[in-house]
Amino acid sequence: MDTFQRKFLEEATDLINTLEQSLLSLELDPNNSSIIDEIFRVMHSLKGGGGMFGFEKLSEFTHHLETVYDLVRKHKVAVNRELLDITLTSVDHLRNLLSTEVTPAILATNDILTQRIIKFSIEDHHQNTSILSHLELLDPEQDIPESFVTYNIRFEPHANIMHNGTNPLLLLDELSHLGLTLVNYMEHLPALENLEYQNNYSSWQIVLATNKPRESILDVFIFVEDDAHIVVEEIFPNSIFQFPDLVNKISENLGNNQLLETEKIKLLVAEYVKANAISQSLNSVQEVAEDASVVKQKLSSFSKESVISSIRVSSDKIDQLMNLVSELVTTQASLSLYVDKHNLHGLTQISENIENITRMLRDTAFTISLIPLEHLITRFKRLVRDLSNEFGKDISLITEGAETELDKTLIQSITEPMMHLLRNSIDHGIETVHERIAKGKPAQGKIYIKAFYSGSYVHIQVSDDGRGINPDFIKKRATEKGLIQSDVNLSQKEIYDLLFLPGFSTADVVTDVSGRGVGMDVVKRKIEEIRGSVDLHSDIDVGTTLTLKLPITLSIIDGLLVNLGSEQYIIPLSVVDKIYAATNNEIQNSFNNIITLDGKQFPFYNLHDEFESDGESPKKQEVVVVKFDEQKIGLAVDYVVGEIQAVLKPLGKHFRKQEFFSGATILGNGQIALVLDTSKVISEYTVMQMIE
Amino acid sequence: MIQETNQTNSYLTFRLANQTFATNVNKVMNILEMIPITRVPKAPAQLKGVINLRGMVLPVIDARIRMGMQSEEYSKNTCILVMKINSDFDEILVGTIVDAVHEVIEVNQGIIMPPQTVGAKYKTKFTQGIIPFKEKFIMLLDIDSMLSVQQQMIAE
Repeated sequence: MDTFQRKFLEEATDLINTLEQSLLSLELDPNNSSIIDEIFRVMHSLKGGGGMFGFEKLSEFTHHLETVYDLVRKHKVAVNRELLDITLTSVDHLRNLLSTEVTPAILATNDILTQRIIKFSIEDHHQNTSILSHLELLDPEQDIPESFVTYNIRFEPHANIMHNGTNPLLLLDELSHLGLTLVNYMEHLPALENLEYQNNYSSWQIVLATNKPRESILDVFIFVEDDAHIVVEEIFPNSIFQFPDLVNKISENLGNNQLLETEKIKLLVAEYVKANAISQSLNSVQEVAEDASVVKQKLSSFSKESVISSIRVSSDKIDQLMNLVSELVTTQASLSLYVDKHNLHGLTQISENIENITRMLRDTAFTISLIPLEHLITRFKRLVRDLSNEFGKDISLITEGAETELDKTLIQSITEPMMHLLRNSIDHGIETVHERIAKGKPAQGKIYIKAFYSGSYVHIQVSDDGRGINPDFIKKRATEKGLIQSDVNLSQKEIYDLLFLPGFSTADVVTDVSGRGVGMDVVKRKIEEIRGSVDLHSDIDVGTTLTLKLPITLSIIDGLLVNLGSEQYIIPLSVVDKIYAATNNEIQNSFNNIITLDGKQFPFYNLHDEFESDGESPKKQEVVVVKFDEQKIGLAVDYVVGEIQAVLKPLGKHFRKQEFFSGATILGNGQIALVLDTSKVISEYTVMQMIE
Repeated sequence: MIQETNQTNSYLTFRLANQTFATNVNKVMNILEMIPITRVPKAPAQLKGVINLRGMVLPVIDARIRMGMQSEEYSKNTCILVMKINSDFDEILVGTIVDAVHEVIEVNQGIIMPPQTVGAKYKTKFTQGIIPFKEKFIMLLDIDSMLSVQQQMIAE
């Protein structure tokens, strides 16, 4: 495969994703012509690109789709569920066609789908002809949008227009959205002593080429009709903007605070047309239409271009950038260390500056590798749509905070677990329409995906308004499975935690409980692999909410560097609550590992003993209190060295079992410090307490 | 004689206690002098810890302990071999501590003998074959399985 083909593949994948997204929005808003245009445009690009880069099947297939949507665009085929179903299936098929190897199975699908699509375009075309003619009678303007017309608009607001808060400039702005414009600005200022600062002395002349009907121009001025003199006159039955020379000529005549009369413009146009013998081509209706569509394409690509504010960069380059930034952070740390050691005054300032810049560079570089959750949402919408069809349920997916950004590797890792949660909600959470009505709930079930930031974490909540999970049932099941004793007393949270135990999740549990539990242990494990956590809350007949708590980024953290004997460790700053001083005596002689700090009691770990570090702890130690969920726990260390930016590096598979550490970092002096995973330390502690 | 006899491979030889071992040179990425190793608390004994290899965090395994031999103080001859191993369908780098590194030898494939399991003072499950060399025997190690992640897990 050559480079161009690879480029096309990337582009085509994007296009197909856009297509899918647009189709789903079309389903919600079937009459939105801008969505239909978008769909048509995407299909067109796919067809063109496919043909050019040797994906003939793709090109041919898209051609049939395009034909149907061309009819939709012309209101000759109605958007309905059946059409959307076929098109969405086609989207999947398009993805298959992009794969290098076209198998006989794909070819067969290709034929079947093509048949269905062709049939669709023919059938619907006929069915709708009668309605169509009716429509045409009702709305003769319907076909006009195809072609451009150039108008001369005079907009002369009265002096008092601004008294009621109208901003004439906004109207001009609105006009410019209708098409291409030339604007002529005129002002008639009175002598200074007569000047009333609140009054308007300006007027405008706008030459507008648009494919929108005349009414939409008048609509722009609908609220100022009484406060302004407005004249809209047609000057040319096409867009003048396809003739740059003509546009230049007209704009030359504009300005000088003078109104250019409509008749004069018409004259200019007529001269130009005559000189260039354009009239012939204009007579041919088809060509006019074609010109119009070219202009329209230019117009849309023009507006597109001005909107595009992002560029495509290969992820390799980003990874490389991240690696370099990581190196820089490490090197900067050694510089600080060197400066501190040698106490070089001149260098201190520079070093601190570099530290600040490095920190900013680090933060910026990180935002580059963040992508919004939106990328996933389309897939989820599709999943919800398909599955709810399959189960015969009526479910809508509502998202909030889709713009929340996450590291791209994180996005990849949460896709599967999220799909799983959605599947659970659809299959088991949401009741059938009958059940829902019987319970007095709205017939349509709702699934919410809500994402938001909280500190250095992103929370993603997946909730439904389904039947909820009965804790008694979980308890019963867990007892049967031998996971718990029948007589234990468990809090609600502890009961829900049972769902995440590997032994609980067997397929037979499920359907009769409420379904959760299938593979919930897998979900939990996957989320924990990326240093996240899962939390479940449920109310019977109200619904179930699962909250995923994920770190925003994986590779650099702010940490607290602490000493234990000759070794150094890092505690992530995000979990640190407070640091207290404590004597070695208090720590050694504490009862039941509880220490009183600042009048409050905290359970604590003496890390020096726990990690079997060398040497003796000093007389005055420090206790770092870290929090996790609602729990707080003290970690006794020899002493706290200070704050540090840590580039998190994996410890490697060999240390998979050493759960206390989420990674390691290289310090300025080249030594390695291990990074504590405090949530693991705490949960280990909790387990120990339970055993005791 | 069989055809294969013409084919020769290069092996790096090294010493553990008083036995010479060999590994295919393609597996050896780097030979480091002994440097301080950062201990990982609560890890199995043969997992000595991690070192900083040009900005990368590299796990280090003590070959003596791995082979079931007595561990000894490190000397000035002690080296860390950085090996590239296949583990879980992945290629990963692992450091392994050996008593001393000897030389690279060319070995004709035809002379390699099947491994012997009798009478050895160390675990023989990692020996792939025996190379007769200058009236001595060199044990050819299966580095992939010796340093693999699974083996480290089973070990404890």
